[in-house]
Amino acid sequence: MALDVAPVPHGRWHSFRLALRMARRDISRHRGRSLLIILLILLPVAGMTGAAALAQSMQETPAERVQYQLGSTQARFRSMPASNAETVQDPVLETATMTRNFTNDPDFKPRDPRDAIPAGYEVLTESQLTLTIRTGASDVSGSDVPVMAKAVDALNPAFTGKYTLLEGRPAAARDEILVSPGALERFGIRLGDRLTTADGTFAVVGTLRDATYSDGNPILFLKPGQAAMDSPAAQGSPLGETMYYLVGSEPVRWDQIRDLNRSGIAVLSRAVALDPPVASGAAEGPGTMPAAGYVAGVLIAALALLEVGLLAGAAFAVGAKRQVRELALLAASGAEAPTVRAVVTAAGLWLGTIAVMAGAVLGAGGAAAVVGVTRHLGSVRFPGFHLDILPTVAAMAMGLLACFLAAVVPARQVARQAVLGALKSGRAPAVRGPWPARVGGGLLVLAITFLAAGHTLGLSGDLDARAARIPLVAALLTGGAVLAVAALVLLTGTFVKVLTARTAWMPLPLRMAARDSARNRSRTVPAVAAVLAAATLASAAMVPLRQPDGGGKTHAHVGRAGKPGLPAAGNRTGPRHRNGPRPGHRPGCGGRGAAA
Amino acid sequence: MSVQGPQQVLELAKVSRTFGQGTTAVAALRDVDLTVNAGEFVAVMGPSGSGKSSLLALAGGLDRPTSGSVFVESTPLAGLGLNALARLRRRAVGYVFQDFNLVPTLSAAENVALPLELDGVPARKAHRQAVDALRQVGIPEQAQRFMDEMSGGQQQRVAIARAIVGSRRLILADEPTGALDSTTGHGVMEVLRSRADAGAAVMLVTHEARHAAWADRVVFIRDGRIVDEATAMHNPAVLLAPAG
Ligand SMILES: Nc1ncnc2c1ncn2[C@@H]1O[C@H](COP(=O)(O)OP(=O)(O)OP(=O)(O)O)[C@@H](O)[C@H]1O
Ligand SMILES: [Mg+2]
Repeated sequence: MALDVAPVPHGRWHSFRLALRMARRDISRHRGRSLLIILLILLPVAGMTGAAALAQSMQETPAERVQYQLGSTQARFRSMPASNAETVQDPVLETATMTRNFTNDPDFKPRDPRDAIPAGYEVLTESQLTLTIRTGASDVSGSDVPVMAKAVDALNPAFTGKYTLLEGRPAAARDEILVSPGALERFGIRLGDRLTTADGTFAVVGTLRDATYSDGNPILFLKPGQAAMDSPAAQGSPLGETMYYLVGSEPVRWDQIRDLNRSGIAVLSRAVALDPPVASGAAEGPGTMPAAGYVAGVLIAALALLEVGLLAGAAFAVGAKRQVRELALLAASGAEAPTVRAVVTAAGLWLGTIAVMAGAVLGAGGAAAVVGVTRHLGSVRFPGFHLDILPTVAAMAMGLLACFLAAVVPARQVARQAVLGALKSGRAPAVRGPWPARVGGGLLVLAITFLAAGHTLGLSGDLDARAARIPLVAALLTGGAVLAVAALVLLTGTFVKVLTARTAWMPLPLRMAARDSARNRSRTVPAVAAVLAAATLASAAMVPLRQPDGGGKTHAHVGRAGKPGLPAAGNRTGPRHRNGPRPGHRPGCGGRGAAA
Repeated sequence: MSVQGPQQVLELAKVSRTFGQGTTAVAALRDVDLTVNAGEFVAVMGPSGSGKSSLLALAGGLDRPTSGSVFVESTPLAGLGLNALARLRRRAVGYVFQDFNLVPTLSAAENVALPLELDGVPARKAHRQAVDALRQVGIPEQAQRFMDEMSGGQQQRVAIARAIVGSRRLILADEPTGALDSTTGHGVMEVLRSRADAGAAVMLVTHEARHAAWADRVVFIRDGRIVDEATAMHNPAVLLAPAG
């Protein structure tokens, strides 16, 4: 009677369930190692998720723009800088304009936005002007400080979501005004104090938050007509512009806007911005990120993933070697190779799933907290919390993949060797030749070349040439860092071997420690690699931060309005009408970002 | 197959096993011929390093011979791939190792149920059979314990339970009584004897004559060769004495 050795139907699934159970037990039996693996994968995933979410949260969505700019009004009209009737605005960012015709049309007569407002709307105005504040106790030592002011009925219910009363009460009398918290700080006053301007003296009765400006900016809020609109400062300056907000139920349509564009009027319409009929070129997209930052970001992500793979792999290797006898016993009891592999792989999947989920939650939660706290403190750096799904999913998938690969490689090693040998020795055979040291040496040379080239290119030539080379330099430096980590990790084993080769002269405790690290190199290497990778990651992260544009994103549109890359000095001194962006701009640009 | 004559469960034909190569080669087994029939209890004795464990490993499909052939239930092991060999181990062979027998991440009952579960027996049914087997070796109350919560002797008995669970007909035990006191050792011998009486082929490696006395036949090995077979055991101690 010959024996039946055919596989059982559904045996794969059956033994995989067994493998899952064993893996779960193995995780709970070796809590320290499991926690280490989880942390190694969790941290980079959390970092990438958080960073992506923060970067994405700096981009204003159309819905947020509508809320912060329009409050609950339907639309706002303003004049558009145009030299002919062929200029077209962007549906979301109405100050971004496009034209194919740059010729100056002498017959082109832009209309006043006030005259173009269709019937059936209640109209609210918002004008920006500059007031001059006299500071200092006496007239002699005092100096004139220009400060931005808005003439607007800020607490009108139609502006809910745009203006918020923080402290105090609404202004009632003709000489009462509201100010931003930054103005209180800037001029050293408190609620109830009086503020003397060139246009009169006002009592400050409350603080107001403007959703488009950080609280730290000093801004005065007057009622329309409370100060002379046609003061010299307002003339000819974009800050003197008046915008008209339409309150009503009827939405303003895109075809109306195109008509108005031909008359030199730009419109931000709630209905159009929330459902743009044409793609908004000015809205977010990868194009808004400076190329250098983008390249550096991708490379840092690659470096982070490299670290994940290395460390998780090493950690799993340690575990797998300890598991060898256990797995061999499993094989002796009749487990096929796939089952043996599945035990180790299942542990990897368990840990990996826990780690990437926790990492994503932690990263997203951390970013949400940062956004929430920053917004609560009155900064407009983050218009709202936006989870960036794609990088998050990518980070999770990469983390899981790294975990899976890290688990499956030692598992293969275990499954391939003879059952008897594994049972006897309890150790996977050492099959490593001299190749890691050779490859490591080669990589190290390559890494040094990259770093040196990046360094030289980054420091030679004039400013413009250097600026043009930023992406290349960032790529070289970060790539060099990645290679250096890989090289050092490959060389760690050799280092340890060399350092622990001649130990006979050492005192006994040192000798034992050296032998221990030499005999258990699979345990020593990840520890050293962890330090190396973390150090390199940190230094690579410094590269983009040291770039001239400070990692801050510059908007193409801002480049036209002011000088790109020159942060407006107006943050402390008040108005930004010299080099800051024009009013109505998306936040986060120019000097509007910082809350404190 | 015909029913005339005893059924061969294990057959080794001109089996040799050499470890290593060249000058460092060690011949653990040389030209061993051995047959164990169904219902037969064979004891293997010999000095340390004589090749007893090597013989058992070849019989159990854990190792492959350098030359010669091994048949289990008339199936030539040489013709089986690694995975088929694994299936043969769990279906036909119960194995008790000299040391380190249990999977630490599994409870005693799960360890015993392991070959059954690997073969697709539903977990509940496998557990019931496992507890039965644990009862046979006298420790049903240890079913939920883990390896590190049991004494060496208890672990050994769990391993024996794993070897006898299910319908396997070849039971190989490599000094299973090493960690047991004489009473428990006696119990283990009773279990093995009853398996043989129930139709299994049992091969036991032992150093102790009183255990060998339970066997139908004693095979004596020295330097990798079978030197004597005693059908009726009269004085096994003689065989253990150093070679003249
Ligand atoms: N994996 C191996 N590599 C090299 N030599 C081995 C290996 N396994 C066993 N040997 C050698 O084969 C010979 C037989 O070993 P085996 O383990 O079969 O002896 P044994 O009879 O079981 O001894 P003991 O009674 O001490 O358990 C010994 O000389 C041993 O050194
Ligand atoms: Mg032995």
